[in-house]
Amino acid sequence: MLRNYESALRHLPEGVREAEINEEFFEETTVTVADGQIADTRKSQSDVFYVRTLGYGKGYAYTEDLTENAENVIRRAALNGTFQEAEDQVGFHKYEVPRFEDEHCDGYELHEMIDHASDLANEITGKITHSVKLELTVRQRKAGQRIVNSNGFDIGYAKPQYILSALAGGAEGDYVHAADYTRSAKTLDDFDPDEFADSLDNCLSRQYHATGRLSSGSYETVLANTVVRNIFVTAWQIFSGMKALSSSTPAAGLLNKQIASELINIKDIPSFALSGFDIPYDCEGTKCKEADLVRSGVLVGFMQNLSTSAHLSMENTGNAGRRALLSGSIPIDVGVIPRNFIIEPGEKDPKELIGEIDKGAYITSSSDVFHTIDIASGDFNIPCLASKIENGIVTENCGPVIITGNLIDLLKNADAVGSDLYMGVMDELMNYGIGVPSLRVRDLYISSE
Amino acid sequence: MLKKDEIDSILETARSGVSDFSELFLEDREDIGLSMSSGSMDSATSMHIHGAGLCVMNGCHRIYLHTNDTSFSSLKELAMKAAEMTGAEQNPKPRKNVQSMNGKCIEVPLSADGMNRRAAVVRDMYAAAMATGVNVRSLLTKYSEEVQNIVVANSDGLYEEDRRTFSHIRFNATVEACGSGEYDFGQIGVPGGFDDLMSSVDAADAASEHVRRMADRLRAEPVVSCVVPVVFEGGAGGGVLWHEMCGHNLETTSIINGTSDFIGKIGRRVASEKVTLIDDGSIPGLCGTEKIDDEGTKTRKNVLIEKGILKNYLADRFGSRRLNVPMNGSGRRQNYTFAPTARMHNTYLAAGEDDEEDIIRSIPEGLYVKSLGGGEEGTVFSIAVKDAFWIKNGQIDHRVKNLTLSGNALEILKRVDRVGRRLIKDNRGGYCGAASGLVETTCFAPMIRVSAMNVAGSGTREE
Repeated sequence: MLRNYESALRHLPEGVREAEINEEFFEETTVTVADGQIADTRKSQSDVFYVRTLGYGKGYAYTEDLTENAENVIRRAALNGTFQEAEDQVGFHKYEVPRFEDEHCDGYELHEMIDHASDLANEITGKITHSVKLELTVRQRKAGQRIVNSNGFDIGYAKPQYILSALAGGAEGDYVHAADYTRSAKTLDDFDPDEFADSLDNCLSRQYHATGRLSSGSYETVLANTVVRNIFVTAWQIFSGMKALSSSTPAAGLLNKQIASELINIKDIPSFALSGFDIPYDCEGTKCKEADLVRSGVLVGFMQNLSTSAHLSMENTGNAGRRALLSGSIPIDVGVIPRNFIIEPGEKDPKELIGEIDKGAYITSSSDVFHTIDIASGDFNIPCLASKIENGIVTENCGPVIITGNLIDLLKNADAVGSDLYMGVMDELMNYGIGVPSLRVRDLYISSE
Repeated sequence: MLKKDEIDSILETARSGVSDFSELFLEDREDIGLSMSSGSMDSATSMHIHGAGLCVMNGCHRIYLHTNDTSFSSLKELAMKAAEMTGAEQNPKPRKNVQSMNGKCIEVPLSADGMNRRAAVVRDMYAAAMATGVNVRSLLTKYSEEVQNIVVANSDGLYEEDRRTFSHIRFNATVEACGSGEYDFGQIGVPGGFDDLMSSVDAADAASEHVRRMADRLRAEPVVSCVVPVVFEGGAGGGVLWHEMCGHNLETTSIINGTSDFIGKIGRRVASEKVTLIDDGSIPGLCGTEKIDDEGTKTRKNVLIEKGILKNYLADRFGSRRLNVPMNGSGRRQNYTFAPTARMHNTYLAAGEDDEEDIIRSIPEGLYVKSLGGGEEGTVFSIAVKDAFWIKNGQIDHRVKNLTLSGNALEILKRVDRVGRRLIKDNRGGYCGAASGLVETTCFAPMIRVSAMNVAGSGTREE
């Protein structure tokens, strides 16, 4: 199908100076095991096209219709471009030697995936100390993209990845307790059932017998890695070049200034051993680089694409992308998205982080970070589940609380970083990784019922 | 365009494995969008979504496949894959004929004049918001429109077509006042085209009102976290509470995966007698309304809770099989790439008998909520509060800010002790996200009082 577009790129409509086609494709198989039975099986394939033109203005079009005439789609984008008034006409990549990185992967047959899913579900259920209903979903995907433009630029790749999601629900009288855990990996064998069971068990254990009470106030608090991951599924935007350009991040204007404790180091990288996301080129064809964001607590960079890097006079890190957050429609404009967003782990495990607290709180579960974080100011009010820490030990489970504060203050007040790096996934879209450890924060305000 | 016998053939092939049901969902959708930011029109986009979803069921096992190659040969191959996945048999089971597929795919007919009219609205919204005198650090105004055509055919002989049109205006703003900033977005939509939207809303007014309210919120006072009675204003203001507090937990997906507090409680008291909760996908003119759901079932009024007694779950076909409850027109999906799951349409609390002024007068110290932001369901739900006021001595007093409400649904439902007489239908719906993607919903209610709720605020004090 891309052949038709390549041909159309050689005969651009009048008024179009450059045009770019971004083909995204994937093949995917998913198996869901629930209560020990195979409940749901899915197979899908997709081949879609994003078109951008430069000329009268920057125009966009998108199609999933493989019968649509390529020249018409380009013409549609060009027509849309006539409505653009902004001066952003940063050009597309110039010619480079064409290359396509295809990581060959036989993949698993469906029956092999079913066997793996069943085995993993049995192992994980067996290791959880509570009686639970477990739903486990295994996803095998071969995905990639190709970017070609009218300058002769032609770059692409195809990579395999696996995602395992677990959802456990248990009952206590009339009430239900739930925990979830999701990881990505490069092969199915990389998933460790012990890791899943430990995380689910820890989260569930903090929900049963929640009879303790935590008075509202400021506490030295350990945030479990799953909670930190939840926060950064939204909070990564602090480091977006697009947000910096529009001054709608609390980090705006703070380049080279201290925005976190010296223990905090944050980067965004194209590939990571513990992650299934291996992204060599972004959706504009830029070679993805390691983006250093925070070094010893100092803000040193933002994630950038062609346009934001040009406007901010900073290096393009190859973070161009489209689907970063939930949206009712498919975003066609090019924005900024992470690849593998990582807060580097420290040296103390969670037990040690907790062991150094006389009186504090342990937060093991949080929800709804999309609506409870204001990304412009960094203020947050996040519903969580908490347990008391007394003399270095987790004592009582206290049920629902709300943690209140500001993201920059949270990072500045981090006085220890855990060694337990959890490489999670942006759940709903499943197209980038978020890797974070547990954090200990002094003076976090907690309010409770 | 697929012919009748081609659809027959695809469904039959899909069912030739070990299965008792097959369904083909065809979608063709055109979207356009225009947006303005940083003082100039910066984006005009057009999108063509096109593809097919094929579902096969055998008892409580479902197989779902999708592709955007809708040629007969590709879909036939997909059907063979589906049959393979269930275990193929030699002799396909006999099935009823379907009617011929109409297959009309309507193009978005945007002439230059049409685009210019829409662009003018985007510019007017931008200009109006910037002219308010509020310190707007960043602003994006947007208009979007979609026309979706679907065909649903299944092995039970069902054949349905539907054409759905939506149009929206949206404004994302970052505003500064009193030394702090806030980001928020607003959206207004109608099930109709551009002219329908323009006849029901003053877009420029809506945009300027949005940034003014944001600035007012920044000037409001923070609240120290507390537990107080909460009054929710009628309309969409309190509607989100019902959506997040119970709506998702009453979808069969949550019941099946064991994460809902409503498991096994049909026929039992789950709320105060004042609570009758309904979901209805057939109310004319609302954003959550559809003629048929995405499995071809006619939408209807579903009474979920009646005078505090749990009556029904929202059930799609798969959920209905797994829980042995009736399907009730609730199978929805964002597009063909998602298998349908049970979802809300238009969720509302039935009107009660209490006087609204009395409800407010009854509160010595508490919270009056005018509008809510988004939230998340779960065993503990949470909702961001956008516009709220403190109630003092039975009167609405000063504006407050930076609040979140949370609680356990089963506890809060029992604390609803007043329900107002006036039900205000409100079309300020939005997108709701779950396992089958984002779908349009609305939620609204009469004024209610909850006797005690956990209010988390940004005001702090040392204990």
